[in-house]
Amino acid sequence: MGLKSYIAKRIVYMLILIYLVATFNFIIFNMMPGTTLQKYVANVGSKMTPERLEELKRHFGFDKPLHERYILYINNLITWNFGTSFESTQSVQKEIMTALPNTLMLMGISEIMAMIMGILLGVVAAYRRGSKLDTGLVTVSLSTYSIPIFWIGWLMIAIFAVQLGWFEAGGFEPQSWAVPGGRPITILGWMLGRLYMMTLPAITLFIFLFGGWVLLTRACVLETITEDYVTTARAKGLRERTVLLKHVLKNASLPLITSVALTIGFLIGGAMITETVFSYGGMGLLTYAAIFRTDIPIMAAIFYVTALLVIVANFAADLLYGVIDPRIKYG
Amino acid sequence: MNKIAKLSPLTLALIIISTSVILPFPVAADQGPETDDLVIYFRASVAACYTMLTTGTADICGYEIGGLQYIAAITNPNIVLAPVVDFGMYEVDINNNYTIPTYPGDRSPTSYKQFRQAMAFLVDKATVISDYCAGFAAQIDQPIPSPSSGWMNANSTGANYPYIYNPVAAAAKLTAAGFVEGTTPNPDYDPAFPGSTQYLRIDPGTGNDMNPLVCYCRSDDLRRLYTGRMLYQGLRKLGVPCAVTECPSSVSYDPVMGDFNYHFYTGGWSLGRFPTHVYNLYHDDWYFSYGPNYVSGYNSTGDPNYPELNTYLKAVYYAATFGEAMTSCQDAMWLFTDECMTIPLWSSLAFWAYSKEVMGVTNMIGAGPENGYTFMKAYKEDGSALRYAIKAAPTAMNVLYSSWYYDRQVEDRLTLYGGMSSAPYARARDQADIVQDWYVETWDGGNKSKVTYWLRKDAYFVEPVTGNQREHLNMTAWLMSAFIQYALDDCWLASAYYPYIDHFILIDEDGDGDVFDDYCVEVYYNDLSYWFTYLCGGAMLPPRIWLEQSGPLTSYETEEYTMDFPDTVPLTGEIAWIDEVTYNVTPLTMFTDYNWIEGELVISGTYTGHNVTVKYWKVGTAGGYWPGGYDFATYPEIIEGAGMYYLTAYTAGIGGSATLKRNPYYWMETPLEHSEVDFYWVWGPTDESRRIDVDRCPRTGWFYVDMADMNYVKMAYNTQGTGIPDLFWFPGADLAPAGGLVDVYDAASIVGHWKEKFSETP
Repeated sequence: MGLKSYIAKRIVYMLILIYLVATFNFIIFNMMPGTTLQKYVANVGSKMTPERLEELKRHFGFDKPLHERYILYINNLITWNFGTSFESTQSVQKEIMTALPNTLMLMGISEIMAMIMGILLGVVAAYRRGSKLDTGLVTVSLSTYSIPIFWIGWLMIAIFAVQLGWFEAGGFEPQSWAVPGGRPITILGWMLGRLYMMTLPAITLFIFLFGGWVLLTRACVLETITEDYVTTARAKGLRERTVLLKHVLKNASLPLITSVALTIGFLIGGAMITETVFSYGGMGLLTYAAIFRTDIPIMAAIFYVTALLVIVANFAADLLYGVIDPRIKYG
Repeated sequence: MNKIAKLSPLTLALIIISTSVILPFPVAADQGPETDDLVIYFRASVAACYTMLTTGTADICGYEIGGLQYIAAITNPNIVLAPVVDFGMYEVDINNNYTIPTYPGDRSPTSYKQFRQAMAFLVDKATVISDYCAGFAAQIDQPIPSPSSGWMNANSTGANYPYIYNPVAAAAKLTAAGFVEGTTPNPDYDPAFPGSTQYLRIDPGTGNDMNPLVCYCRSDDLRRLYTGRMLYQGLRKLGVPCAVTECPSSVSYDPVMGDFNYHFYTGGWSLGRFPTHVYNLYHDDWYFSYGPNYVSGYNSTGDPNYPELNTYLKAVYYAATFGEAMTSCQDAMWLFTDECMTIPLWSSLAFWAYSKEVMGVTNMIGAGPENGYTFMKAYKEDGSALRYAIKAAPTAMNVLYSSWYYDRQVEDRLTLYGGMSSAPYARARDQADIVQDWYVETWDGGNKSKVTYWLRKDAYFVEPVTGNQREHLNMTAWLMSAFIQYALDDCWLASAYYPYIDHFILIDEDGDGDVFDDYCVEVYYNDLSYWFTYLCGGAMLPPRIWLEQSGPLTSYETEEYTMDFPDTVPLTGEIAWIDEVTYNVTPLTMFTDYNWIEGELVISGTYTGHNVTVKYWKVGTAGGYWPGGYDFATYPEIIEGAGMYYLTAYTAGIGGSATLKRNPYYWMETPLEHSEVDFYWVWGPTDESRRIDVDRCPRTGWFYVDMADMNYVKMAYNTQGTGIPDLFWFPGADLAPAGGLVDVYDAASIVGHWKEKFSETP
């Protein structure tokens, strides 16, 4: 089977998978007890009447049979219509588009930094396996990866915001921007302000994430570093850096690509705990708030979009496997 | 301890007098809040807000702090704590219905009065308060929040509460009800537990071992979880089997509220300033699936369990006067306790935290420091912006939909809601606000309520960003705000008061006109209830905003009719607001020539066979952009209110903020510096220029620095709010700089402004 046929086949599989995910999404939110009406009844409190209840059921479409609701739901997903938030009454797309840039900036920076540093250090640790450097890196990585991320966040706040006062304890814009005339008028000023506010949450995420990359890379590299072709490469007189990066890392990178693909989903989903600790208004916090307020349209949209991205990223990863490892045949 | 605070009363008096002569107290004649700038930060949690407080980046933590923060705060000398008992109520809800779906046909044990009484005997409220609530609660014995204790029946509360913890009495009640010991061993038998039985009890209805009670304990609130455990473990030890589900509300919601398929449930409510909720929560009118009453139930013949109680409960809501309502409530509470319908437990006690640098924090009774008076009076000595951190972000900032607490934490600063004593200092008593006075009476032979409202004439709307003064908040703005919000079903106001919308009407009783001038109107209601007085309100916005910026909310219609009058005009839609009615080309006058009754237009004059043209805004689909809307950046012009501040900048979402500036045209004058503790309104003589008839004439009034304020200082004298707050610590009495301690400076502050008035009616 050629590449084109493989891609076509995978696209079909992917569409089926997306359909199944959407269906599963529909099922879980419909199986949740009470949720939608409960929220409104709770809001209205003691003033609920049977008439009002019926009206609410009509409003949310609960008067329609399940199969009709399902068709409507699938149709809405296809047209990218996620409805309106129960809480803000704004369109869900709008809510997501407000939070997404914040998350992409935060997660993008911390993930990319963690990935680069983690992979490089992982390779070094594997190369110097058994050395003090290896032991130190593994110990640090295991420690940072094991510490609950909220705890790292609180330590950051306690040290750098409370004790030293170098950073603000939370938010995504400096407090000085809220004062009339305090908002920067240049893009550079805006970027610096946002980077300043991102520093603590980004470091927190970095500390948490990089340990995972170190350990994963180290394990992958250790599997390949003893292979015969590596010895051959060395025997050919190649430089050690070339051997490591071109022969070892390239062949060890397949699990890493899978991990990167999965990471994209988390990238969009946001870092719920970190964003909550730092009051950083991104996708993670949006999800947290949606769960807390039983805002089902937002939850459903986020779950769906995250799943969608993971599926697409996996598809891309599958294609990349072939590029990186010519032994892999499509079919 | 501050040395000054230890001075003798004589020295104290001398200092007060001398200080009052020496200290220069500027007389404030400005309007609006004391502080020029207010910034509200949106954070993700109380912990984040509290951290801002400790790092000096916020001045007030805008929510009650948690236990961990409390422990940290009492060791922080820069943080002041303000205690408050809230208007909430927790109770063990008992299903009084004759049967439950799990055991169809069988009589439910909890339908037996003595069984319920036995349950009540098994709840050790003292332990619940001290251990489960860690002391952060006030015990209640009737389903009325602690701050409204005047509505309780004193003969069956406190020491008179008949079900003080007593497991032996509980066992005796069970036996007396016919639930005697059987022969099946009780696996939970505990000889150390008084009254514990070796054998399971027999159900007197079936003659067999009791079926397990269906119990739901809310696991998302540890206080309720542990209370539930105390009860079901006690029952089990007494030989009553229990099938327990410990779960969050999402799980218990359907079986408890929807299906009534439970025996007991650990419930809780957040309630309003008057206990009219007793009607909604326990009267048979509201006993339906997913309704507010899931307790009272029916007897074996399908009739309501408590017809006599129903009468009293209904009379609480449909009372002609405040006094009648209170008496009916007390009568109802006596029966309620006797029947032991539920087991009332506690109202939460909480602490709010703020920086010692903030002066003028006013802790309103039952509400705490977050109230209009704090935002009028609070300031910092250095004149910098007051910084308020709240634990969530507003979701909509939209007066139509914003019932969410965090929306209102911002909106309440910008927009006037209702305006008639909507937030009096003591919430159980009324006082003037934007409504200068009101007169409650009846019509239709005493069967229906009627209220005359007089508005103050010195309230204005103010533009956002610029702070420019706009039009008066007059009766048109007031009525239009109320009507439009009630006309829209999905507006929170209409939803919340849905059952009463039909009661909200404006009609002309005698044809002589109901609007007396731009600031006075009489509103007729088509049922009798003193509480209707508060229904005519909502977020006050200028008519310009309602009608011009409303987007798809309304559509403007011009419709012509040729018909005989008087009659109802068959308009094509529901009226949001009437712009103009003309008879041929002659404009007719609202409330004189025509009326607007329950959404319909009624021409009262005789215009036979002629054209009548109606121009009106028709109720459409609610939506679009509204004051404080999400699209602030795009629609700044519509974030316009008559509140004490106006908005100058807004960044949505957690991590964002709202920047507000003092409204210099706010109706209320800036509180005199370092004075006024209680914000009790003092009624003055009647304003004869606004008299309508013999009975109806509005009173004037003002805020006043007097002995009542001094009494608060006396009560709280020498107490402090830093560290563990003293028993009589009262933040509102801490007036002068050097915050956190009520001392001689505070007393002198009051003396310095003795008998001075402010915010007097114009």
